[in-house]
Amino acid sequence: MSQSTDILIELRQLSKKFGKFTAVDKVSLQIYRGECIGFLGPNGAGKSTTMKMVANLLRPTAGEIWIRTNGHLEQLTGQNKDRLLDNTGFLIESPAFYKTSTPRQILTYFAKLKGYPRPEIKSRVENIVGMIGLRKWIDEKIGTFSKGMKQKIGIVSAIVHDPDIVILDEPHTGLDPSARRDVRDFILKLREMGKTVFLSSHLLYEVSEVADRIAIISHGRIIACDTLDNLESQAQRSTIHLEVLHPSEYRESGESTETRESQKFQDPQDSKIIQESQDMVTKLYRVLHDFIEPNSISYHRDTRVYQIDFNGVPQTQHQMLRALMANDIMVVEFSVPKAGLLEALYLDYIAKSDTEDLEHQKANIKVEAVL
Amino acid sequence: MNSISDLEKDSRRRRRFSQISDTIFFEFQRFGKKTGILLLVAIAIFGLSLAIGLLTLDQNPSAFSTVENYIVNFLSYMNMLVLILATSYGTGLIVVDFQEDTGNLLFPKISRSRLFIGRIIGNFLLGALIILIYYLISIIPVFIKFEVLPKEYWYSLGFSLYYYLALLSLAVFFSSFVKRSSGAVISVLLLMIIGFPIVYSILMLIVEGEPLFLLNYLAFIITYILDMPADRLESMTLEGFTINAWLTPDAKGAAIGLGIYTFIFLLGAYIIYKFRQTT
Repeated sequence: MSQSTDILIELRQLSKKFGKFTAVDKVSLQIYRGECIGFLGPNGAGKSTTMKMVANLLRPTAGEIWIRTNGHLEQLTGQNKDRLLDNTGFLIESPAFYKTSTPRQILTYFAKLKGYPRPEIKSRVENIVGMIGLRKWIDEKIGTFSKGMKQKIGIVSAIVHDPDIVILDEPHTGLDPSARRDVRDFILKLREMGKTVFLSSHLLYEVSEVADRIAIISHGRIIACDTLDNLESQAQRSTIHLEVLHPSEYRESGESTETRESQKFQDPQDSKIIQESQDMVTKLYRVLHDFIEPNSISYHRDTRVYQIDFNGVPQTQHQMLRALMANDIMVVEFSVPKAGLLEALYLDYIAKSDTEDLEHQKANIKVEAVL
Repeated sequence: MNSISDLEKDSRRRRRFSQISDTIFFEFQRFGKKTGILLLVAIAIFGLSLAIGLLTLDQNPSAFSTVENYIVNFLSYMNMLVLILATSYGTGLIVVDFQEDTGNLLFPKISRSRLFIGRIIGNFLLGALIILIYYLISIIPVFIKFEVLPKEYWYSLGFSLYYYLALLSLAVFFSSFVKRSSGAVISVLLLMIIGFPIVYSILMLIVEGEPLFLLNYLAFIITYILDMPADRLESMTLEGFTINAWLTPDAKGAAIGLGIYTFIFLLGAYIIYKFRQTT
């Protein structure tokens, strides 16, 4: 990880209330130079509200935001917001543009507003639009753009003045898989450029692919914040995706692919695979019983993948692989998919937070009843 | 600490002006096409006035006995042109960022106050440019026919611009709280075409006082400044009713009235805008 020890943004006990509703509840978070931190949470968890407070679009009810400038941390206030936020680029929610404007006009305007050196603005705008592959669209009206193209222009608008910190609120929302991949690649590019990225999303895969650390927020509170590996060790669980060659497939490997594909959907072949997969599950239990709990192996027929839950310790993972090889199991794939893991952890944390919240509410009701 | 504070103040001062000027320039870019269309509308109105003038002269060669009369022929649609300009430029000025959700992109790059000031100036200048062009092209036929241009012509231009500013402020005020720009367009048009004229008509029947609080009445100065009547109040009795028809405000009254309109509506619009929440 490219993380260094200096903090660029620090949220201290940050809270925001809308009337009686607490949207953000004493959130404390440190964002380090050069890292990409993923801010995960269900809809309405408080992600956007937190980001809007950092952007000074909403005033916190309580708590402080500290931002590093000229080597030292300074508390964000109405007086110094221009200077402190100059080094920060924001994309708040889905960007909407003036339909009759072109990317060149909009980005030039934004670069000027943020004080980017004027003689360099033209080349800067052309370069960053080129970076997202929209160079030939630079003088076209944004009203004619697809949602994905607008989203890319939105992200670029956040970095047009070359800030060190980039805050992206739900940049993948509403995008098709291809546009999501482009946005993901661009975030990775930002990381390579040494930018500090604070990314909120409810799309676990997108976050797991780019984030160094993950903060999970639920009901306005941060319920977990660490690297994916550490979260995994804390949770003491992980999942291996295992793909093997079944004995029939192994024997048939000499046959043409065409023959095997034609047999794939025939009932006798299907039932044969079911039988073999059941046998394989039994065999896997026998081989891996020292490392896993009972009922921790499942077979997914569609993907032909065995899912094995284990304690998440890398040494265990290694020993399991060795045991499989030693027992002549024809392993084709043996991996711990980050997104799947993150999903499991995320659901665990959210469920735990919901239970705690419910208990807290029950306790309050009891206290009120007693009073 | 002092040096940081001074540096900050200096930076804020410079940033304040540059952001306003950048916003003005961006408004010019954004509304270039719209301004072109509105300029064509202005030229069409000029063409219509010219045609009417020529037809009148054809039927009655002594129709325009003075240069002022002839100029009034060209300025008789100025109120309508200013109304078109103000609704075109003013009604979307604030609401657009809420209607189209473009506000999320602009902030925190620029503060609302600077954006507001920049947009007001930018849109005022665009409308003012069209009014100025109208006045400039109107000089041609006037000069051809009379070979003279009274200095009151420029006063009229000044009041047209001033009236445009007041009407723009009214449109911006509506833009600050409606949900869609069409709502602001309808409100301004209803007020100016139906609301104020009805009040003016009623006041003619019931009071003798000058209706300086009516924006449409203040606009009468645009043509009357060319040839200010000695008595601005015309009273006549019709079947027992006394009708007090105020022809025009005087220059001072119009200036103060338009100034008050501009101040109140711009301030109101700014305050509402300042506290209006983005979604």
